[in-house]
Amino acid sequence: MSLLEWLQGGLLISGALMFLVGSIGLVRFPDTFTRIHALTKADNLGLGLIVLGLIPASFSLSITLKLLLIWLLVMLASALSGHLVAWEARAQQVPLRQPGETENPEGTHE
Amino acid sequence: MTLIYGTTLLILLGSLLVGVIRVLRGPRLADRLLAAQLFGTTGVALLLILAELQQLPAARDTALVLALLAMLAAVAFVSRVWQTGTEREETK
Amino acid sequence: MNEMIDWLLLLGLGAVAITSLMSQSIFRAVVFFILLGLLLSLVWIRLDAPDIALAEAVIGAGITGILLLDTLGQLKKTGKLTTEPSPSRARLGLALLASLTLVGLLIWAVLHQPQPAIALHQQVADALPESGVDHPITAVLLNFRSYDTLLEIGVLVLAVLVGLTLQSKDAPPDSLPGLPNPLLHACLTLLIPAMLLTAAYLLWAGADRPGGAFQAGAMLAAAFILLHLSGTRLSPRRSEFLMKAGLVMGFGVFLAVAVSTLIGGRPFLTYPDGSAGMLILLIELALTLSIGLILLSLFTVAHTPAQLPGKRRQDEQ
Repeated sequence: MSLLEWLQGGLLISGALMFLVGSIGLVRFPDTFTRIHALTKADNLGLGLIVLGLIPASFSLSITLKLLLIWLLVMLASALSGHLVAWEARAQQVPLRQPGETENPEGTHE
Repeated sequence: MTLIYGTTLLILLGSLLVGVIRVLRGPRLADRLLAAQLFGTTGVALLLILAELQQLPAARDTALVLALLAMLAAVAFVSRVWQTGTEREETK
Repeated sequence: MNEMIDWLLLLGLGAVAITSLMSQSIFRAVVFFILLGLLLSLVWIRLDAPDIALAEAVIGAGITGILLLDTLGQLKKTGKLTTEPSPSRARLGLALLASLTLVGLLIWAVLHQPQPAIALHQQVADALPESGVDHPITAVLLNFRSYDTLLEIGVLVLAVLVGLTLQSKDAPPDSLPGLPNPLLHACLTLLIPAMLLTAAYLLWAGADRPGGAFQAGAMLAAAFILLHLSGTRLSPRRSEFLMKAGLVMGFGVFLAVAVSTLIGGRPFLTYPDGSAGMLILLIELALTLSIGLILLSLFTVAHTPAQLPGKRRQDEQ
């Protein structure tokens, strides 16, 4: 394997691991607000790393631009949906929680 | 290189699996929606890698479409489903 | 490793489908349904069927998810959301028997596939140069088997007509205000043009790559629905005539092209030599716009009649 392929491999694997970290954060974090963090930060970085890792696979201008466009769109989408969820959660006064507290909003028993 | 693509795909699928836990646990509707958002982004990453692995450029177009539609679910959810007071109707 | 990925996808597909069906919480079922659409489109990519993957991504993971979310919101608002008691054992057994029989039949059909007497893909490849497009799927959909596509769009028009009939005449237009969120509106100025551009791209790509009128129309519909959700109303009540004309335009143009070839003494739905590409583009353009408007109408029509028992919820509380 050439140096470039090593670099690519590193970027791809670390991008995928970033997704995994985001998912674990989504499961482990204590309340809705912190879960938004886990999701929108880790996933955007993960996708960015994967996109960077895929660019050397083709070295074609059109594909590179399309990959970057997809990344930009996903970032815009997660920023927007994260903001909307947080905005509505604040309006509905979703409680903040510290790690370790039990979670039991009214009416939902899971 | 195929090995790396395969490993990346497997990690991403594993990440989807972890996300499913949050959908199952909830407890709020918003938490489940966040998990759906995660599925969308992970799907984009999976499609981009599959496009390279299978030499299928159309998979990249599919990823583009998914990226464009990613926020639609959040907008529909916030504007239609998650209104004040609806949370407690979600019974188990 | 490839087999492992395929097995994971296959098992995931089954597990997600069953969880979605068995889920007691309806919202959870909807989220699983969205995930199902995503997995399906990955499976289609794995099966080297990007056309279906593209359609599944737009319709399955995108528009159907929103329709379900909207329906759920509507049910909650009108207080009609009731959790049904689990069905009796006899009904469950009957359903299980029926579905298992179907699965058995399908497996039998797959195992006893007849050897095709004629290699269809070979015929398609041979006739491709005369079809007017370079992508075999588009050639089949809009040239070799355009009859099917004509009937499909006919079915869609029929569906939306039924929807419009069900809408009561003086139902109030969608009463929900849009989201008064400044960031959303700022993002829309970027997103809507991007979506329209992508719709045009998908339509254009259909000539030599996966894409085409259905995918482009669904993308157009997604842009319309996003505008609708955020408060910009494109409701049929504003410009009823234009809307109705748009709904039937795709079918009309398709039928007109199909019939006009009869004048030249050619059989129904065969394009004259040389102009096939142009005619297909014309039909697809009209189809795209119509499909976009049809899906939007199905979305906006769906919840207008169900606004009567608005007070019910307050009584319950």
